[in-house]
Amino acid sequence: MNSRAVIARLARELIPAPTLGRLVYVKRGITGPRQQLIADLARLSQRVLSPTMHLRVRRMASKVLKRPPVAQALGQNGTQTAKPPEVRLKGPFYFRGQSYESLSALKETHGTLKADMVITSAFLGRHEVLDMMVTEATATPEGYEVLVCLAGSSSEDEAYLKDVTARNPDVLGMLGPNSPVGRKWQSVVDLARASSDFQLLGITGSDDILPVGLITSIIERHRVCCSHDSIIPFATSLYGTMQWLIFSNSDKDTLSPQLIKCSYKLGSAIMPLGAGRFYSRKVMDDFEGDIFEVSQNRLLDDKGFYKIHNSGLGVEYYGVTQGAVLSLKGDWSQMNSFDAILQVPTVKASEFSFEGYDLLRKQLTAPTFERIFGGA
Amino acid sequence: MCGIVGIVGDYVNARGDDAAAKLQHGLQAIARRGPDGEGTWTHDRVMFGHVRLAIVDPDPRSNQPMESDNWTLCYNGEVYNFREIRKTLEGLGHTFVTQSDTEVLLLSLEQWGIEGCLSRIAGMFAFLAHNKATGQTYAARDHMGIKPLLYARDASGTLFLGSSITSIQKMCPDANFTINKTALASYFSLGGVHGSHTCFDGIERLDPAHYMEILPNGDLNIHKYWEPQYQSNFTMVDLIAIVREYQISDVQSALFLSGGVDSSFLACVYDDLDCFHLTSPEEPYAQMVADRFGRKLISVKPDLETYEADVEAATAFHGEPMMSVGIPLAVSREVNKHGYKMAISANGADELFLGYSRTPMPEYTPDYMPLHETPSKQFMVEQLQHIFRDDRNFEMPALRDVFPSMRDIYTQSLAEHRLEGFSVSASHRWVELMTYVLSDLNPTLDAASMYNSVEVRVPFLDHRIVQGVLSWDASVLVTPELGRKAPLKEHIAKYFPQTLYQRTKLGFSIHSEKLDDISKLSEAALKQALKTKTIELQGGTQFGEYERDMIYLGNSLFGFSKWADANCLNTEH
Repeated sequence: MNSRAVIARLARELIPAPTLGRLVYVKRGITGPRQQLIADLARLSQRVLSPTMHLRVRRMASKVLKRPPVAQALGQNGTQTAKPPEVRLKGPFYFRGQSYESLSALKETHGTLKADMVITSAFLGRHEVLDMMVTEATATPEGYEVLVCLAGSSSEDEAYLKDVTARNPDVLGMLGPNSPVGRKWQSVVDLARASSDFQLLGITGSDDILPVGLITSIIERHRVCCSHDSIIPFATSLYGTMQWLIFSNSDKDTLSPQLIKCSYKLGSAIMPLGAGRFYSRKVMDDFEGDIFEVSQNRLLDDKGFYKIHNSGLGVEYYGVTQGAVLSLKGDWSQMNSFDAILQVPTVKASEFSFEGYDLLRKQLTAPTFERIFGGA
Repeated sequence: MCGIVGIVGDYVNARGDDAAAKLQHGLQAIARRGPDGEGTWTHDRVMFGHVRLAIVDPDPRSNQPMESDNWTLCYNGEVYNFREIRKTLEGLGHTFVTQSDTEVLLLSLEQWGIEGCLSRIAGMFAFLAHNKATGQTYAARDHMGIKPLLYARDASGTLFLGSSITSIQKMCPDANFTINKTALASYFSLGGVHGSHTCFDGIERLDPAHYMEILPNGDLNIHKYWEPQYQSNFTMVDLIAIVREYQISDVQSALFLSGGVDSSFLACVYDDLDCFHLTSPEEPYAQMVADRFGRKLISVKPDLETYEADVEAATAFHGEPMMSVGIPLAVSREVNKHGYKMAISANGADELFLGYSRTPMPEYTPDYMPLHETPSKQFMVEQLQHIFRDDRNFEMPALRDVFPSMRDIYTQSLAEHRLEGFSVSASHRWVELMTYVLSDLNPTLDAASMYNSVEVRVPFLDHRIVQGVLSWDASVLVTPELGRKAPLKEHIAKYFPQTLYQRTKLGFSIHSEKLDDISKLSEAALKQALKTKTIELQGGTQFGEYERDMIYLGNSLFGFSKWADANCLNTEH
């Protein structure tokens, strides 16, 4: 697709949006006097739209410009330059078998860490599952650099962090109180931003696994997306999924063992799943990393999505065939049991044993696959 | 249908008389499989023995082992497409001296070798074959595991092969075959010993669709020769043509006619078979079918007076415990008593045609179905909980470490039973065929029928039909108008009103005053096991099919006790 076609396609997709915030965001890279912006928008639309639509765009653009500037709503403007977050993170931090009392000490030794993607997770126990998540994240092929940032709470978590960071050079860990858990999640995101230079920030629950196949595919998609930045100066702000897999191996669940595919029913849910969200670097900078409700223990991740949604920013969705978020249900304490999920009215759960098994065999590393399915 | 035994190794050369005596012991153990003839053959380090139940070309010229220029064949079963293969072989210049399928199989080996032969034949079989030119010996088992083939190797490396575990034991009187707890646990889990291990360490079962190559130096290689292949053009016309092949017989034959969909369909296909019915509430339907085609309907009440003793005797004959051999045993005896040597059964149709609601069909949900039909289970674990016992409901302390968990069963099924290129429901149907049918239904039917010297044929388990019907999507097999097994019903509808095939499936139900007593045997076995803590109930949540699990455990325990009696085992531990 040539650049003109790309512009045409994006303009078609953008203009019918409920707000023109997204379109304005497009232009944020060239912010200037109102007349200049109108002229830019008009030029853009003139190149790709019919005269009637061109007129509509001009009118809509005028309306938008009467609103408060988006930069005011979003905070930082959308430049590529990372500004270190002004957050206070308490050490110790665990990295490559060492413990650092402060971030500055860590950065003094290792500098700013560089990765295509940082995957963050706040956890309490469930180290076996977490270990599989780390195995997947650190198994990407050359050219796909991934860093894992973890926040634990208990002394067992601390021991695990020491161990896992010693075993994996691309895992960074910290400790923090488990409640409110929103604060803990925000802290690990802050740690990622403060320590690293990345293009995507991934979120995953501590009983969810992001297969290496999913991770590489998202990095790849984002690269493609960013490659159009010279034409359309924005990239997708969030990658998320409305469809995921659950494997229950809990002796407490009556329908276990069972691999199912879940999806949010159309019209009954508007947010992508909390796990398997990948925020772009740009939007993380714009939001100053503020994507979790720090005072809450539930519905923590609504904030990140709604900020994007309300700003009209781009969200790309992926399905399980492109990459499957795998939620593992075992005999550990969990917020939503397998049996309970099957009763959720907004979630459609389908038998997916054979297809899911094949899919995961392709998307997961062999060690993780064997740990889940017993090397069968 | 017959019985086979074999001994392969230097021992045959070195101590021929001893080997011949052992072979005779093996033949005695399988004598009931073939009352019409017996033969042995020895060459170099190979010895074969055969007992014959003569069904096709009963003339003694078709006795076995049978020899050609390079090959010797010792074979149990029937090849149903032998006439077509015979034509091909004749076209290639071969001449035949018998009318048997045995000779066709033999000359197929001569013409195409083992793999070429196996790729052409269809039916139920287990055979031993020796190629004098190469010195190699082969053992092969049919595609769907209908006929058994067991083997064991003694300390000297001599290989013993046979149609039953008992035949192997008799040929190896000095071997100490200890109990295989893993296999035993699989029996309590499924109701039949599941997998290539048998209840005795050292005695193995050749997997279905596999053949063994025994090299002159004694080395063994086992190869898989078939798995289902997607058939894009398979139709009911093809299916009916294959089903018709199963009618070939030179002896008095019958059709098991319950009056249900599957057997009624077979009745519509076959021209002139007498119909055999176990007296049941479905008898009027069976009568309707028989009358429509002018057939004789023999309705019998099975004699269950000696039920316990019969089960013990058949178990001793077979060599492994069986959960539900009693009734098939009584039925086969009636068939034999009435002078039939061959009967055709619709076994396998339920599993193949999505006849059970326990089999998920994730890719398809009909808009509606006739009201007597039950919706399909949604999840695979529900299917497995129906086939296997859920270990979370109970514990067997003696088998604690080896009892298959639902997780083991689930992951093993995913790894082994996924059919590439087929619909998802085909894989779920394949699970049925490769668990319940393979390890419970098939060995039970073989043991019960062969104990009574009756050959039972199962056309729905012909591998050509299996892969053809597996290639049909769920939407073909289950339709809103006809419900389950729609293609079979569509054919029946040409001859009968809906009353016959659109009614609630009754399952297995026979008229016998002894049925209550039989149920009590199982209940008593379970009670005793609970009392002696052979089984301990877990309490708390009841998983899956708890009530069914308890009934099946009772049945398995009863079967196990008869097996233990037959083998003089102490069952306390």
